[in-house]
Amino acid sequence: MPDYFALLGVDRRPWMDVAALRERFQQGAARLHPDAGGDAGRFAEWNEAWRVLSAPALRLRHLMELEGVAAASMGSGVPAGLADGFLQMAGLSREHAGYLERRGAATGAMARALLAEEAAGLRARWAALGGVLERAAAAAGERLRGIDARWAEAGGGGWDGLSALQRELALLDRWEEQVRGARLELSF
Amino acid sequence: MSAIVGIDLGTTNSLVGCMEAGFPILCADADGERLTPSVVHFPASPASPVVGRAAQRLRALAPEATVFSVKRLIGRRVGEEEAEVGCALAGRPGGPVKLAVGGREWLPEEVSALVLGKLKADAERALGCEVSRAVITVPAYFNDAQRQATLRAGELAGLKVERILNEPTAAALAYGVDRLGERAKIAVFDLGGGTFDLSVLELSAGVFQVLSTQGNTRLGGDDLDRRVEQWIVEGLKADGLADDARWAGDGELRARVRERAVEAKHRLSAVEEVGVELPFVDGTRSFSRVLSRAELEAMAARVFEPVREHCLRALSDARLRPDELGAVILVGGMTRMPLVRRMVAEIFGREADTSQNPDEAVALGATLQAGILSGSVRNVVLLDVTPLSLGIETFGGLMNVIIPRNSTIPTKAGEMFTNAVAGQRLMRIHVLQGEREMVRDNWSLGQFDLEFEPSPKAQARVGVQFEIDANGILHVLARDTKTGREQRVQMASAVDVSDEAVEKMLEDSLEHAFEDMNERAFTEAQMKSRDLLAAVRLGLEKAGALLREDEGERIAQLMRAVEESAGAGASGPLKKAMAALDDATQPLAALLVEQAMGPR
Repeated sequence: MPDYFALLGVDRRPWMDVAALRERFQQGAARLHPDAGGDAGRFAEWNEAWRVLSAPALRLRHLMELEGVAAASMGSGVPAGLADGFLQMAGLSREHAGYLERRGAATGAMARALLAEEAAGLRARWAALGGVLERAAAAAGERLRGIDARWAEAGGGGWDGLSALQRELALLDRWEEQVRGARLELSF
Repeated sequence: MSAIVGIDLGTTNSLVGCMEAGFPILCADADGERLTPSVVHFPASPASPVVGRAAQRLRALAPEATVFSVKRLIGRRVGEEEAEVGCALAGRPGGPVKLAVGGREWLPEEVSALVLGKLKADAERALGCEVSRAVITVPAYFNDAQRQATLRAGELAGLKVERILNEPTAAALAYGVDRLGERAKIAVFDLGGGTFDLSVLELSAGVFQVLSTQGNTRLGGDDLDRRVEQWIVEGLKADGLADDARWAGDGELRARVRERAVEAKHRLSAVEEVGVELPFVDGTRSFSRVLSRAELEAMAARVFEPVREHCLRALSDARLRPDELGAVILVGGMTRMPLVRRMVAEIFGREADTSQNPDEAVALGATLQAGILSGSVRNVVLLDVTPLSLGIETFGGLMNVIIPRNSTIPTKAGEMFTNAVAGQRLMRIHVLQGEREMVRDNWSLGQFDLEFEPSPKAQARVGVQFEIDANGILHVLARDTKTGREQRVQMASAVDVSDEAVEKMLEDSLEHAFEDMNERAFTEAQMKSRDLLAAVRLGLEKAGALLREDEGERIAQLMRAVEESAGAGASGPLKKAMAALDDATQPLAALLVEQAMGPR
């Protein structure tokens, strides 16, 4: 397995300054791109390293793989702190799907206009849920920094709670995408 | 080494440029014109085809022998695209579209090659030396087949295609090359004759990184021309000057109407109303009507409505709000239209940047990229993306994404395949591009067979590497992990193969729908069932007490059914059980949502 931390030349740590990493990626990409005389295969790896390390959930998974830390089992369900969000998401998604179906079936401006109120309601609720997720992501980010600090003190190996956090971040990513997609669908 | 030229091969017009003393210069032809209409006229043999302005002039005289907008057909299959290009279309179902003109059948890329040949000659005249290498631009949303066909067009014209470059990215380069010190996020809004693209980029210290791209390869000025033509035809009919039969049979009339329609559209960007005149249209009487800008805009608003959705999608993909953009750059001839500028202002909440010449920015960008490749432009690099997700067909007619859209290219991704039964020698892999869940809604790039060494079940393993190069073109590499044998896979693209083979392919894909993927589909369903059961349990905990007794019982019963199927091993029954449970939990979900919303 490639070590993307080593490849990008950054410390193997849970937390990372993504803006600085982006700059590093772009500068390296300018050197490694085939147009600059680089090899397409090496460029693709550089690319992949950036993709993985820039996303916290993917970065932690990669870190755990490199360190041989077991992933949280899939059976453990939704982390307790996210249960409310999870339920809201499920319910709202179902309503959203129902709305889209009605919108698809609605022919003519009148039929669509009758759906506008519903759309406005859905928009507000998705926005609120988006806010909840943002706060959850910020809190998860704080925990990540905490783990990162302990990691630095322990010289690696301070991975208590790392795998649970990884799973939580992955879930939050998926939900963020879902919320973004739903809000997009309501914008046209 | 000879110079590299930059070519904008447009739907309506094409241009060619070259680097001179560090600056991109567009080449003029013998008449001093930089813009070459992408029109080819085929005179009776043995005279050779006429390209550009001269062909444009012959269009009204010999419409059936004059081809335009051929770009809308490049890389397309019969039945996929209905675009009007002047001459009759040919080709058989499932095969590539062909044009019947000049006494034979032509592939669209052969016609494009004639346009490229003229540009090559113009560049050679301007440069005073032979030109054999080129960068050619394509719409960012072109798929693999359309890119490959463009590449072939270049080769047929005697050009080594050093790069297939995305048009909005080229325009961004033309815009950003004078602003290399700035750091900004920009959008390029490119509405041309036949295609629309919206790309979002980040510019930073000479790196042009595309963050997302969205588009529509069948939306452009041509479509508005069609609407204006219809308006004229309705007028002709109302005045009793033409009927359906005459319209269908009279190519010359159609060509005249088209000319008037385009002319009216252009003039209405500057004036409020124009007179549309067709003198002596039925031999004695003339047609004359006034078209106002408001009328044209009403047509255009409908035609260009999809633009809004593409823009919003691109922003969402880039995870940006409109106010985070430093500029929205307009390119493509249609962005001259005031209505289009107003649409852009409304979508992005800001006035668009009109600093670029809408006809020339893409060609200048292509020329700059030629300069990057030849070394005369330094410290600039484009990081482009693949516009469409790449995937393969899996069980149940679903597409499994291997390289997601907006991945920076060049990129690669591997996938491991194994034999489903002992002694299986072949597995057919169907490669797709697109964003839809079902295979049938996406583009088929082609199919290939993987060969296994004779082995017990699940012992033979072949790794397949999918690579998208800097041109956005796919290459497939297969590697047998046991023997270490590696080979480049030649895909039977549905655009290249014979009709018989296409039919066979269709049959095959229906018959063996990837039995080997069964196991994976089941594993995926199993994972989803865990999510579902966890959600239902949580829901019951929160609001189960509020359910009617029979509702609660039914949910409990269906949960057991899902658990049982999840232990059984077939994905079909599991998916059915999950759907039934999902359905039965609707009252529960409603209760939960009520709770979540709180008292109103």
